[in-house]
Amino acid sequence: MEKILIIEDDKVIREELSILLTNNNYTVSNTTDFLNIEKVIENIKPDLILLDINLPNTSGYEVIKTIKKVTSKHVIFVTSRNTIEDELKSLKSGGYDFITKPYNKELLLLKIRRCLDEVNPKNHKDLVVNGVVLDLHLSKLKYQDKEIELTRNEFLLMYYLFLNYPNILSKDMLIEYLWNDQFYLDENILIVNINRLRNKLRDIGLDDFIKTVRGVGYKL
Amino acid sequence: MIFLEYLEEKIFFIIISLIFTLLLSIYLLLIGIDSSVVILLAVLIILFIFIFLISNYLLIKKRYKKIVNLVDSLDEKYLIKEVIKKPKNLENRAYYYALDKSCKALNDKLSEVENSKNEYLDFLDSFIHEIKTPIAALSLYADNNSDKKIKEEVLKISRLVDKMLFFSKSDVVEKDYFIKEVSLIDLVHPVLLEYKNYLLNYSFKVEVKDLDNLKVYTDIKWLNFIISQILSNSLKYQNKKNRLIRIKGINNKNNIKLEIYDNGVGIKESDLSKVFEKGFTGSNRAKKNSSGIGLYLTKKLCDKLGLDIKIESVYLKYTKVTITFPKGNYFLTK
Repeated sequence: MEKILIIEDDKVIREELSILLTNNNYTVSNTTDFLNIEKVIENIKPDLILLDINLPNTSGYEVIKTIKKVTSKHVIFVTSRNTIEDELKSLKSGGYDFITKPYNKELLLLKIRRCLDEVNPKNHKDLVVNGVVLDLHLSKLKYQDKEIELTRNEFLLMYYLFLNYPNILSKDMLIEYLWNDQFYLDENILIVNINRLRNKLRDIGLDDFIKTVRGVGYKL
Repeated sequence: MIFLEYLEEKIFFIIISLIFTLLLSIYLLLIGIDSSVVILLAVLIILFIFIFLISNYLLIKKRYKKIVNLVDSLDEKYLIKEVIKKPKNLENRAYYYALDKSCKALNDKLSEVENSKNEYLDFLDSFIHEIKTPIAALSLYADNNSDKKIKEEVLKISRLVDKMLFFSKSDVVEKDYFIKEVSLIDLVHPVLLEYKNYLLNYSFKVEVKDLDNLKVYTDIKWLNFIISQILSNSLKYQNKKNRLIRIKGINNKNNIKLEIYDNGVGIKESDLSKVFEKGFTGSNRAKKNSSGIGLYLTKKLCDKLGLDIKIESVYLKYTKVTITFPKGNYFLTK
């Protein structure tokens, strides 16, 4: 599991961020020792650091200088200031990304995911479940010697089902993911799309590849 | 200034001169000077006075015009004292003194007001950023406990706080303004995400068309706010079962348009021209949740960003808001 270090002075935010990230399968550490950040980082060895800009007695811009000395891992700034000045300053000082309070949960998780994926290229490989291959570059689904092309929306649906294999993906979560990818659908449209996708899968001999879990959602 | 007015002003001088001429003539006649010579002399004196009056009038009129034109051409009229010459005339010097003092007093007052306004804005700014920390904490708490009710209310607070922030910054857009090339979807997507739960809970159908490939030059943050204001109105005023929001990009030769359409209550024709006015809350709408600031602010920001905004509506049928982005590589804040 990837380790995330949270550098934030507000206790409640620290706690709630930890819960949120733990629930999303990250290992989380905190620190309030803003002035001795080198030691903290050497001990914890995080894969990603979330850094608040407003810190007591120092600032995120100061802290990141120290961080950059001891690690090359990415830093995402979190802040309540959203002026262009802050954004430029945080990117200039070496921050990978910038997110403003109050956090949009999905956006935060997305930015963290994107940031970690960039460092770790193994996430770019094709996904395989039960001999079915999802080609991430060409948006194709391959099974034995047959393949079908997927539309953008069909591909997104498949992608999230593949990612969550072998777990169940709830309709709410699926809708949430798809909204993030600019596919603004509701439950009815989701059902229609799933059915259309199933018909398409049947053409290459995949029956019942997407299974419905009653009252919950879907799984592969 | 009319010549007659000038004569009226000089009436005392004219009467004295005439009496003097009359007395002089009588005296000259009495000491036995020929009447034709006296009449000639009197006529010459009167003519001389007349010429003096006219030339004096022309001079004064010129000065008068100069000052009036100067004042009219000045944007900040309270600086007039700096641009007019100090008069030599004793009476005018008193006026000049009065002008000098009152301009100074006014400028002092002005900077006092400006200072206290800036102080207030600075306070507001830091206040808003401070309040965002507990809002963020609450929002995370609601997410972690899957409490949709609290989440929704927190989002409402957050939007209201944003509205206050953007309102306080709306006079100085140019201080926090960064133009880059963005596609229309980047302007719309964050707003749709923000209203996602509301849109799903009230079963809105969301149609998004031709936004990916249209690029405009503008500031994302301000536009997100503007679109959020428009969308919040679309969501608030609904009267139908099948609710629809349609957001569409249109590529024209000289501009790019962003259309936000909803099939809601719409706006009465008589109200349509007033929706951008400050404090206007509509004649048919329930006043709750309505401050009359949202669209006023939207219009003001669009003006500052050099964008055109239009509302079309048929009462009880639909509302369509169109934002027009000029095409080209540059434009400036106004």
